[in-house]
Amino acid sequence: MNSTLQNSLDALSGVIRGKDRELRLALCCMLARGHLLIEDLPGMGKTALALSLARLLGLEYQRIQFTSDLLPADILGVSIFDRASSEFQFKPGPVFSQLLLADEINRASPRTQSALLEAMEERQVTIEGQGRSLPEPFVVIATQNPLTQQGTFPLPESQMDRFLMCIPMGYPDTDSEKAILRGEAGRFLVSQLGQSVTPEAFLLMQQEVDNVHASDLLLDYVLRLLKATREEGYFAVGLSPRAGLALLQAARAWAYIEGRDYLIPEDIQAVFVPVATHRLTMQKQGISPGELLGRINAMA
Amino acid sequence: MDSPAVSRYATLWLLVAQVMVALPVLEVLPIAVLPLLVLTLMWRALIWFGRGSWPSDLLRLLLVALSLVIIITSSGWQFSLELAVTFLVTGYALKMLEMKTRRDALVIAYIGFFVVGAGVIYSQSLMQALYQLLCLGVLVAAIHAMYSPASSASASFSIKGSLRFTGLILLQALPLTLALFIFVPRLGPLWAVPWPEGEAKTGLSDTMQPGDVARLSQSYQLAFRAQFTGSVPSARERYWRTLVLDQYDGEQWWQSDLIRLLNQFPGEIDDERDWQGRLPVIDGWWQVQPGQYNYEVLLEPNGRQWLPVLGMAAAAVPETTVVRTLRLEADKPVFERRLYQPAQQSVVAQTMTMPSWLLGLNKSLPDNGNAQSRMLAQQLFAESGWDPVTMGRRVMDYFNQEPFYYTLSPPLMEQNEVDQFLFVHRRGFCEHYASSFVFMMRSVGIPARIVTGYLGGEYLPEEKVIRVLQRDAHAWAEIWVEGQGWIRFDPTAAVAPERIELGIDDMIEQGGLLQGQIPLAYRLGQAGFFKSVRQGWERLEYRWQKSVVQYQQEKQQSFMKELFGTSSFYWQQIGVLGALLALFLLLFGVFALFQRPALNPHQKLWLRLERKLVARGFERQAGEGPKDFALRVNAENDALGAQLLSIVDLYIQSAYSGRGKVEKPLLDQLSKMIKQL
Repeated sequence: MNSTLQNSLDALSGVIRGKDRELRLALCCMLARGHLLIEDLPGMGKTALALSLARLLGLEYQRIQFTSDLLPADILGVSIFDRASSEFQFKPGPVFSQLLLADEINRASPRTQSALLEAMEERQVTIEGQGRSLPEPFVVIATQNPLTQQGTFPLPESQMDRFLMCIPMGYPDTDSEKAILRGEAGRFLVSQLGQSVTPEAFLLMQQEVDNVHASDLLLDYVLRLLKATREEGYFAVGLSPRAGLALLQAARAWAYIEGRDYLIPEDIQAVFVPVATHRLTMQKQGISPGELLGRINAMA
Repeated sequence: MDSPAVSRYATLWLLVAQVMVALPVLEVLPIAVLPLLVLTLMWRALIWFGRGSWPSDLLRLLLVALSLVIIITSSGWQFSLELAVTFLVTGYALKMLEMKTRRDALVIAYIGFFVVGAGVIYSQSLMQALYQLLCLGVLVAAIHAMYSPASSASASFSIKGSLRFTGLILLQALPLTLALFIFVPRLGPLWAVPWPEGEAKTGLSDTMQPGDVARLSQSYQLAFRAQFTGSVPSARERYWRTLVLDQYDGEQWWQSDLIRLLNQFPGEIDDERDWQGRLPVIDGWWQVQPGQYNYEVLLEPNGRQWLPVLGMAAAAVPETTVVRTLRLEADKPVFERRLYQPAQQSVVAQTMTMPSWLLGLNKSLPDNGNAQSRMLAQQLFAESGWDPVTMGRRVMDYFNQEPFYYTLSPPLMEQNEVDQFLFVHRRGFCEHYASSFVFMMRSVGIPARIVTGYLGGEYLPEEKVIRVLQRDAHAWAEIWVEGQGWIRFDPTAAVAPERIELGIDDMIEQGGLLQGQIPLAYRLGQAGFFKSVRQGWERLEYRWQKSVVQYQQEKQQSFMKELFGTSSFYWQQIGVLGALLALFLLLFGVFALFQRPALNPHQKLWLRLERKLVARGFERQAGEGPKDFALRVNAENDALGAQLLSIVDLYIQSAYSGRGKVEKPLLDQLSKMIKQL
């Protein structure tokens, strides 16, 4: 286990109780240079998670609350005429940050959503014909309400693909919830968190993740999984090659957190569900991605 | 998952296949069924064109009931092969009306193969075989069309593609087909096909009644083919013996059989060996002499027991008997095309001694009737100095010198037929001449009998084959002379030598002696270019019949003997089949090996490890990774788990880290640890 990261995770679990796996996945997602989509009801600790991560990694943090009347300029920024200098001056929007929390992303109109998603993919924004690079690292943690709630604009599949992982937070277990109620854990602790990794060190870690080795044996396993999503009739639409790359990258970050510089099948399995679920189109009589893992031989 | 729907394209193939496949068997179906078949076909076609709707369940039920009623009533309440075929074809047609999914379509295509098979029962000609091959092709193309993804989209018809694929598939099947054809043992049928009664028997019958040969002369059906090795008999030597008629009651001639003879001559015939013999020849009531011709006969099925031979039957073929009248008789009626070699050693037979009862039989005449003829015979016998052979020639001369005519439409003769023929009408054909001749011979005490058979046949020089049609039927006479045996006399030769020299066709050409019409096709086939085309085809057909259709158990045995020497046939067959099976398994194995990616050394070691653990009661779940598995085992069994954890650690490092990839020491260590486990 990578000790720096382990310390960070320990510190995190002090704030957000009983969510060790989710915390680790979130960290993993960031290490893999991916954006994270958290899908759950309000009040489950999504914001606390984003805030804690930002503090731990010493990242510059911004937050946008998406509403139905939010405009692209509210995210990207606008040029304002400055009387003193008789010039237009660019006021950067919240997107110019290292960690952006896009809260309730599916409450904004598709046009605004796509402005953010474009920035996520290109890691730069074009405003008034001028391209402006976003800072490094640049990570978006978006939260989304379950679509059954009213007044939401579902993200199209192509945009779901921009997120490396999609994880539900879920309710805390009884013990953790009791700790929260007792005031032993919670958001108020975020301010007490110290920075454990510098942004520079974090960038370095991201580069190390890229070097995690994937053997042929392991790639065969990944291929078997991908093929099964396409051919067995379990899903209406299978995983794309891009999804395969994402799966591999996420698994690399997971292995890196575990302190290994090579991949084993368990790494793939650990990240498969959060990476694959939001990219797959389910079928009525199909199976869940988790069930698929149980059916595909991990060894040969 | 539901079976996908059948595309329009595949349905079209199936419809075409259905029409093609059903055509050859249509003639055996009862006529009442035909409208039903046409109706269902048209209905299905209408659905195809989008003009009709599928029949409802009730309607389909009614259709089935209706067809059952039609089939059963027209079968005459008797089970026959035709009934079975009718059921098959009707079911085949009706099934089309509920064909919606690919599963249904497959069933229909498979039924199609059965119908093709049913067609073989009725004809095994080369033409039919080629046609059936075409049918198979269309059926395979239909199956291909069902699975073709291009066709499922819409009406994109790629007939060329389907045909190419079909050709390829059939070619691939060819080696297997050949191997199976050559080596698979021919088993007897599990059930006998009931042979239809009545008109299906063709050719000469056991009794001779006026008009028999004339009726046969209208038949252009093939009777048999004979292929020669060595010399071929000239036209005047081609007397094919089938039946010998030695019983006469004043009106009819028929042939003796054992039961009748036992009644006729009680005490004189001891047992059947006096009348019919099998190989080896017993008691020398016949003698075998060297003959000239070596040949084999391919006899068309006729439902009769006689087997034509050239001259007199000498050697018994398996499952046959040589009757004392020197004819060859099959043990069972010939219901399938039969190949036999009547003169394998090139011999002919002769009867040199005759017991008194047999002499008496061949001299017997009714006491009264035909007085004029008897007188004429006495007169001629006296003129020829009481010598039987001279007497025979004298009668021939008589036919030749007096105004006798050869005609296939003679006037009706009732009482005293011989007198009427010899003195009143003097018009007749071979039957009349032969029976008058024998009558006159017997009336003066010379043993004589009528032989019926075939005379002539068309000779195809390239194959050395003589084709004999039913219309070549003929009758002639034999007299027995002490010291010389049976001597053939053909009185027809005295009247119409062209019949013997040229065959019946030229007779017909020369003098309109036939009532009725000769089919145009037949006449065309006798002329110039068409003749050579037809003969070329006949040659092919003969080869097909001889080498493919007749490749039955015996031929197979002799072929295998040639291939593998003379050891036991059954062991050979088992050996060959075993070898074939092994070959296919090997091919299959090699194929499977290439299909599956080869296991790398790590995977092999892992499999070994897994086997060991299964023996200990721990089986890895398919989705379980190595580490999870080891942890699970560890949770249940500490000692084993600890060992396993260290092994898995090593395994993971060597298999996944990319460093221990081919590092032998690491692998060796792993192997050792697994062994010690």
